[in-house]
Amino acid sequence: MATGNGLKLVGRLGGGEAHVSEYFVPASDSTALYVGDVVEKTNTMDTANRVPIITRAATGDIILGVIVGFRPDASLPFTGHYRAASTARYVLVCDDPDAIYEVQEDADGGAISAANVGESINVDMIVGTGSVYTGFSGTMADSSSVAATAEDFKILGVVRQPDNAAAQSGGAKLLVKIVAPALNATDSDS
Amino acid sequence: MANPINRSSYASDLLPIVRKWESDQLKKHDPLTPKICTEESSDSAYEVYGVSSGMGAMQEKGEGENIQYDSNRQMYTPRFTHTAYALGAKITMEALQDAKAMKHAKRIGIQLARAEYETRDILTANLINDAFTSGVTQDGGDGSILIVTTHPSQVGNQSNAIASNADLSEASLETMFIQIRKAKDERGLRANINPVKLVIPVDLLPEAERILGSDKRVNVADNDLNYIKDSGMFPGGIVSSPYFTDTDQFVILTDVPDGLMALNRYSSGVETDNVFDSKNACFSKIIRTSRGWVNWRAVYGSPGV
Repeated sequence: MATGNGLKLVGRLGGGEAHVSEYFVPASDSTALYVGDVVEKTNTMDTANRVPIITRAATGDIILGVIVGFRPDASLPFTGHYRAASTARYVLVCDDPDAIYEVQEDADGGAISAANVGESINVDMIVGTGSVYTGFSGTMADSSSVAATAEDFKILGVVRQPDNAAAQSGGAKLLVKIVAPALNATDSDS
Repeated sequence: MANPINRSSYASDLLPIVRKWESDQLKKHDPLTPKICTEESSDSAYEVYGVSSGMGAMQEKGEGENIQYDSNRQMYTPRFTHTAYALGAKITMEALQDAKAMKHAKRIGIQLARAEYETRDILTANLINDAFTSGVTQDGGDGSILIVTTHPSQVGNQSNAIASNADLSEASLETMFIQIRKAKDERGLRANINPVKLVIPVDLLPEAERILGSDKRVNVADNDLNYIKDSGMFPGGIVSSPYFTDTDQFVILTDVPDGLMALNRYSSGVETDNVFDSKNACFSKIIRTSRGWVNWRAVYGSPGV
């Protein structure tokens, strides 16, 4: 079983800097958040600082983007690298529809094949709990969900590191983009 | 509250019948701390170290392709909050005046110095003694005990414990040597670390000397060379101490920096004062120090069988 570290922003279709915005997670949200977690909007906003409120997304949700950091909080010098459950935090999210992410596949039930990587196909995520020690999300790509109908990520390729390949034991590190990112979605609901 | 040392405490000293008091002589101390810890001074109430997530390997780039960017960030932050340790003694004015040995109060200073050395060595040895003890974790660390199979990292749990508990032997040392050489960092890159010292209780010292010192392999009929000696596997040699309490536990220190840490905030000399009302003389010594670890890859070990 592979170890997930969430999604990591590695680039952008067309090059340039990926768009990052600040969002808010209120203390009423009891789900801890980590760098690499996939998030969605909640149809509400933080009126104090005029930013939308987000929460961790589940597979099939209209994905806003991926957490890339948190606004520093002087009261959290040692735990500010993640957002503890039920803690109000401002969150930096890559909400760029063209962003490219690296994500580990879970290789549960077999690894994604080279043929899959070579075709236009999607994969869903499997949401995992992050680590308070590393500060990274536990989310991975769900290898057994590869299908054209999958809603979360489109497979762009594999990370071209010398120790990484499609169909390798333990699963590959994939390059993906969000299939239907919230900023491009026609559905107004979250 | 201990009683002040009075004339009856050393009644025999009032008459010239005792040639020398035992325990007055401070045997040359061979401190354990610098042998297994990185010692640093501190000027704060606590010190914080940071562990970075690191970066991955480079990626192949096609012509005209954009570079794939990596990143790194803070992970856990081991913290060292100093604890004060102190001890003192009092001598009545009468004892100080009448007892000849007490006139110089030299004995008090020597014994307080021994108390300090003992305290420091126990604190240091407890890093090893508690290496496998459930619940003894580093404040702000990775949530694990020092030697365990489940240190969290970005590439899954990593281990600095021998895969199958074993006693000290040529085979177990070679197993751990291989494990150390294959160790990876937080990101999964090869850590490229090497063993430096073998740390053992005095109970294992004879066997360790045989294993490390024999020209040929120990306890076998073959005439093979002793790889452990021939390769210089432990350039720092053996560290043996009576402060290590587990008689079959052994650990290997590696060349990873900032492994076991000993931070020293303050150390007084022997301070003296007098109580005005009783005229008792007071002697004390205070240290403020802390122990712990930053990078667990500095220590690999086996609890024995």
